[in-house]
Amino acid sequence: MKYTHFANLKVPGPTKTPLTEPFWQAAAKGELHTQYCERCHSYVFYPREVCPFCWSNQLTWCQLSGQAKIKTYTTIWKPGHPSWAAVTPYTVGVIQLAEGPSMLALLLLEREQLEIGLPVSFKTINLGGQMMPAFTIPEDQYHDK
Amino acid sequence: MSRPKAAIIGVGELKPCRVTDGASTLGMLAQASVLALHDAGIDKADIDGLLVGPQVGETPQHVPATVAEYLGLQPSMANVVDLGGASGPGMIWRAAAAIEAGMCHTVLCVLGNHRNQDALRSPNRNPIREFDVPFGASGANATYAQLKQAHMAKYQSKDEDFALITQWARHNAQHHHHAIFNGKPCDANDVLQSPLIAEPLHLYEIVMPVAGAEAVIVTSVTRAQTINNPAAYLLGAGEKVTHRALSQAPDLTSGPLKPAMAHAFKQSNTSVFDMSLLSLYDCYTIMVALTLEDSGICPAGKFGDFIRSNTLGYDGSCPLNTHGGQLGFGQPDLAGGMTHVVEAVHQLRESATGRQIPSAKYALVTGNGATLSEAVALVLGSASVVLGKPGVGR
Repeated sequence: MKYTHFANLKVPGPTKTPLTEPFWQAAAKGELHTQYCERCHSYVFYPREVCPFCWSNQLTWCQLSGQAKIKTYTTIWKPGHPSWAAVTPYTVGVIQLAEGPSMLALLLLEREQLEIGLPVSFKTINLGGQMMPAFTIPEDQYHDK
Repeated sequence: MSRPKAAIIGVGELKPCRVTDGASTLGMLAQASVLALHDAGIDKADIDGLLVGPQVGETPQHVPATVAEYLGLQPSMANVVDLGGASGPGMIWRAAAAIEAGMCHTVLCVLGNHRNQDALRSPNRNPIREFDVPFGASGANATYAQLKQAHMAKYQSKDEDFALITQWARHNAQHHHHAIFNGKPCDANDVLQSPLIAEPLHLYEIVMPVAGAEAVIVTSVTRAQTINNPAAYLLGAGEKVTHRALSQAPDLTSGPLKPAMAHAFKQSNTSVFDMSLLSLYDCYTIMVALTLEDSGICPAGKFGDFIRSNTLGYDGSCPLNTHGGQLGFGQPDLAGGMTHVVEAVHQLRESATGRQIPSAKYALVTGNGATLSEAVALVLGSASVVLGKPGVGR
């Protein structure tokens, strides 16, 4: 696959906390999970101790559809962290999840495919041994495992 | 115009440089502070308030006490202002508020940074570090590239429009001998030919990081009248913080400066059309574009038309960042935001030698921090508009 060389990257991984661990455990299984507020019925990303909308602590974990749209993106030629130079150019973007929240993620699309508003779907990619969220065109159901 | 809230009586600025050899932040803060003190023509003993910025990698805590001790000050009010590029403007209204609250009467606001080879980075543990950095999106370039992308997609704005912002910044830098790009003008075509760093951002649309320091002394309006030095006056301020990570931003084509500027105009009873100078925070070309549109001086999406129909030099139809902005002057880290204050003070006191706007009356100063996250706007006025007579205190 085109992105298999990402598996050899030695880049800073996520600074997980006990609270966010369910997110990363789900990602390791190829799934996108986040918090849901039982009080105000909002989806919450990134994971928090309290709901940012109503300050309730009635947060539960749930799996999201993985359906999303590109809000914006950039193709990076000169990375902020030098370890990423091995895979330039690569693309990151802000993704609007169908359930509401936005998140940043890698975009596994060709440069000519990139477009704001484009529907994309969740997958995971192996970044130096860490399974990380990524998004691609919905037809591509391949998951790195 | 409303009652002035405070007076800025002294400014000090170090000439920026690309690298330093063993310099300390404290030492650079001291140098800029001495310049500001001499400019104000007051005694060190007159300073009884201190506002400083964070010092990543050097002094993680107790920064005000560390700076105060180094400078031999025993302030009655001391604090850190941690608003990224908005820290400098954020200090000015906080100084005025502290004076108004009776905590002190004369505040030193100082920011600076070295660029030694061995600069340490602090270890982070926060949502940005967990959910942005691991995707290869660390650093501001990736963020502002995405903001530019969103603007171009929504408004069909063109690369050429953004390139003109750099062209004017470099043009204005030719009139400031401190500017890192003094002697190095460039035109829009040079900008478009410069390498892509994070698409659609070109190298020349990004500030050059430099070492430097900026100091500003704020005192009460009453006290300013006793000092034999011209002052600029704080007439209004606004502040807004909306998010930290770009992914959590409420809007990608309008920022927290919009309400902050509206608040500053309301407080000062002015409008953007009253301004003699726009001193707008310009970490990237897109930041100037968004700020022009959020200020109301042109419609959303139309900054390109606005720039093409104006001249932005000190002698132009709409003077903008007459010191070159950070795109022309260089960005001394957190002190970069203070360069916009210092230039506005020079213009309003008529001490902008070689680039003086004739009869400058009002200046809009903006600061922007993090990822279009932290915003401060100030409206400053000259002695002539505040006191009704030019050159008071000279």
